[in-house]
Amino acid sequence: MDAERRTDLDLRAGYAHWWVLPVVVVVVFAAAVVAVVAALPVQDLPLPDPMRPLYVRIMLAALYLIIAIVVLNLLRHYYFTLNRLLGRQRHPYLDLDTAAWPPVTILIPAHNEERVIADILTALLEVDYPRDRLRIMPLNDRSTDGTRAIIDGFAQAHAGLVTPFHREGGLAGKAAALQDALPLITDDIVLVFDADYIPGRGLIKQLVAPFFDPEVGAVMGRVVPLNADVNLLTRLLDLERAGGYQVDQQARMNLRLVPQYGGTVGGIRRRAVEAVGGWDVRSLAEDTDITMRLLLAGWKTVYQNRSECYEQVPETWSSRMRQIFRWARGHNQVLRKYAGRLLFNRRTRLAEKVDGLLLLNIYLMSPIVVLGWVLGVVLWYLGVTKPGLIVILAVTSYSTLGNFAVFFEIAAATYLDGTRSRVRLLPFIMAGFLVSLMAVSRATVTQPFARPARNVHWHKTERSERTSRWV
Amino acid sequence: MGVGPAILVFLLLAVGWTLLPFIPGWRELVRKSDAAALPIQRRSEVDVRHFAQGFRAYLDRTLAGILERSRTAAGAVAGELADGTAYLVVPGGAAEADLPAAERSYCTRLVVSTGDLRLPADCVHAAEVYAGGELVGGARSVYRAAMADGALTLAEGSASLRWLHARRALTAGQGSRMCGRTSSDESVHLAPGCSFERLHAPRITFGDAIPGPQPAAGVTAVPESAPLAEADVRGLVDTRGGRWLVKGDFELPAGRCLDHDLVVDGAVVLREGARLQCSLKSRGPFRAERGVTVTGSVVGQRDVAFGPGCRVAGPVVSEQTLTLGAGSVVGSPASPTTVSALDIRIVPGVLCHGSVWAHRRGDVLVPAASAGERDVTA
Repeated sequence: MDAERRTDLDLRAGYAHWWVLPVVVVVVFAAAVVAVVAALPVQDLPLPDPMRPLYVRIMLAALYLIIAIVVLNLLRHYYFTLNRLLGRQRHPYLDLDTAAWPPVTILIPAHNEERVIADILTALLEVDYPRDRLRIMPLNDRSTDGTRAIIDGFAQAHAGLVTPFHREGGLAGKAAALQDALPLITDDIVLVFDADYIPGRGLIKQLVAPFFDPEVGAVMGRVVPLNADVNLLTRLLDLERAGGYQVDQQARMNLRLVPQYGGTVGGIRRRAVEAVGGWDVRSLAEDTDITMRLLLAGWKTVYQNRSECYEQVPETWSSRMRQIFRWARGHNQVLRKYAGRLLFNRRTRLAEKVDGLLLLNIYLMSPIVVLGWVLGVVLWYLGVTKPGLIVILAVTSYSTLGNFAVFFEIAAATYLDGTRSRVRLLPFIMAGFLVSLMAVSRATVTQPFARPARNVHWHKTERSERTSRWV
Repeated sequence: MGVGPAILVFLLLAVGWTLLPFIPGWRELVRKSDAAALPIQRRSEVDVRHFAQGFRAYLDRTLAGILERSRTAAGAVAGELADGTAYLVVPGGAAEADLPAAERSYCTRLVVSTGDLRLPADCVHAAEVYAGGELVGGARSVYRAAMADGALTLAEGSASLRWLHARRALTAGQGSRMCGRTSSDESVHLAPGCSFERLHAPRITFGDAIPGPQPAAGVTAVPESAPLAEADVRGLVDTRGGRWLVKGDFELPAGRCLDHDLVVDGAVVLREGARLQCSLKSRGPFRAERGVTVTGSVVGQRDVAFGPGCRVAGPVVSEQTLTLGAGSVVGSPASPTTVSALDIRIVPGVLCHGSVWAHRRGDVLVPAASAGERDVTA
């Protein structure tokens, strides 16, 4: 299977004019929209009429804005996918296999992880990173199970290499644990793995290599679901992850946009994080939060598509909904905090601003589309909007959220991964989108009314026993 | 047909049409044919000796007994392995391997020798070649892959298609072309006119007039003047985190020194004898004049060019073309490093320690061309 996976060099060969196809797609799409609009009788066009009441004009303007955002997202998905398939792929740090490797600290935030903590510690003890430059620091945050004893056992057996940090007080949560650990770390490069991840032997070097670039503030590797074969949900999440990493993240890397640091299977430059104020302990999405703050300060986050690591994805729909709900709240929190600053930031390029805003906007898309539908229907009953507009909105929304653009992206990812049959499950992705639509809309709509949490909790995905089979 | 049945047929067709795409998915869901977790590379896939190590394991697994028996045989031993691979074991130490007449210009068999092996000129070796001792190839020959436990020498105009590995020195004659990986546990030397993709060895030399050895600890920068101050840098927009962020172009004057990591939005020019006691990232073209010293890494989004006699301790990365001037040294014996770029152009007289990876093509310039190259970097 592995031999069948397409290398980027294979894909690059023969596509010197890779930009032609994206341009053609954009032009064809624009022509189609113009054709649809032109086909409508002039009197049916829902143009703002100065004679109409102000509230109607505002609703109409909002509808146009929503359509613009939806279309922008649609084009973005297509552009990313085509870039991934036909564009020049950027892996500038992949070849850095020989170097004076800098000292690195690996943090493993853990809260009641007795089932998996030994597996990751065992795996990290086998990595090919120079031992004298490696420090493994499990962050045990008030575990009440056997996590502490397991960690202490490793620390005793590998004194100096495994140096645990047992937290007994302060705010709960991963961000708070990371923030408390920061002053204890002397190394500039810090990698973070969740306790249920199993890094391969060469992964540490691959994740450290980009830090030879002084511009890099954070690095993100690729996350691959380990329990993909359990049920429909895990198989759909496997497809979604493939699309998200193999296409989305790598395309952002190719285009020098804003790859996202995901909080695990990645790393940060300590002095960069300290320079931007450290981890936000109250953030629900500390990874997105730090990505944005690094970007605002002129540090780059880079994505390493070949630096792969297994994870466990949720196996129940309720667990998935809670995960999405949390991510949506966290993302929206970051959007609220940084969207304005990003827009007017001097250290970021225009393309980074646009991509950053669209990245933060991901979890707003569901309520935006729902709002668009509501506006369309309301205006229709007010006798303002003709069916043509609703049709355009419906089609573009469908295309963005559930149809061609995302389907295309996921199909391209399975092609790049060399997996053939799993792409047959693509139509079922609609089910995943419906669940996301509900969870995200609920999270977003209720967010303004939610009370600020007095304390932050550990949010974890329920785990099965599978991880250990890889050790 | 009445209206009722027509509507029913229409609905059935519509539902069927809608459900049609789900049928393959449903089958895949019930009979899992591609449900396993995506296999991931758990070891570092960039190990340049990966294929050589695999080949050695293959030899040990399949040919150990045959090689042992062949030591006592008078002439060449031919046969076929269990996997169908045809082999030819030739006695070591002969003046030139006694290949069958039909295979002196195109040899499809795995050629193996327990000792030194000399191969004829103008021969294409479509299968691997292995020598237990020194391996000396004939001129203008082509090798799919070759490995030697001693030194490995490619005569002028030769080519390798996949990989080469030697335990001792690996030397490529003028105009040789090495596709894929070329590695040695000791040293690699490429004559002018050679092209390459991936090189790895403790010591890699290009052309003659190789610069002297480096101090074991790498490049040691001794500033001749005070380090550049913040006020000296135009366009400096941020100094937090020990990194200077410069909007626009940047120039480090001759003989001056800088001791902060530097990220430059535009072009970078390091004038003659300048010293960077830090790492540098350039989003525009990067040019270092004669005798520049860098103790950290240099990463360029565009072309990177080092003039004659430059010394760089850390990795050098260019996303476009990298040029190394004569007398330049990258890395040190105690601290090998990586040179990586889309295209690499090396003027004869360069010494690298570690890995040199050209994504598309690397060239050791011939003296006439390298004279022009000096103009580019000077």
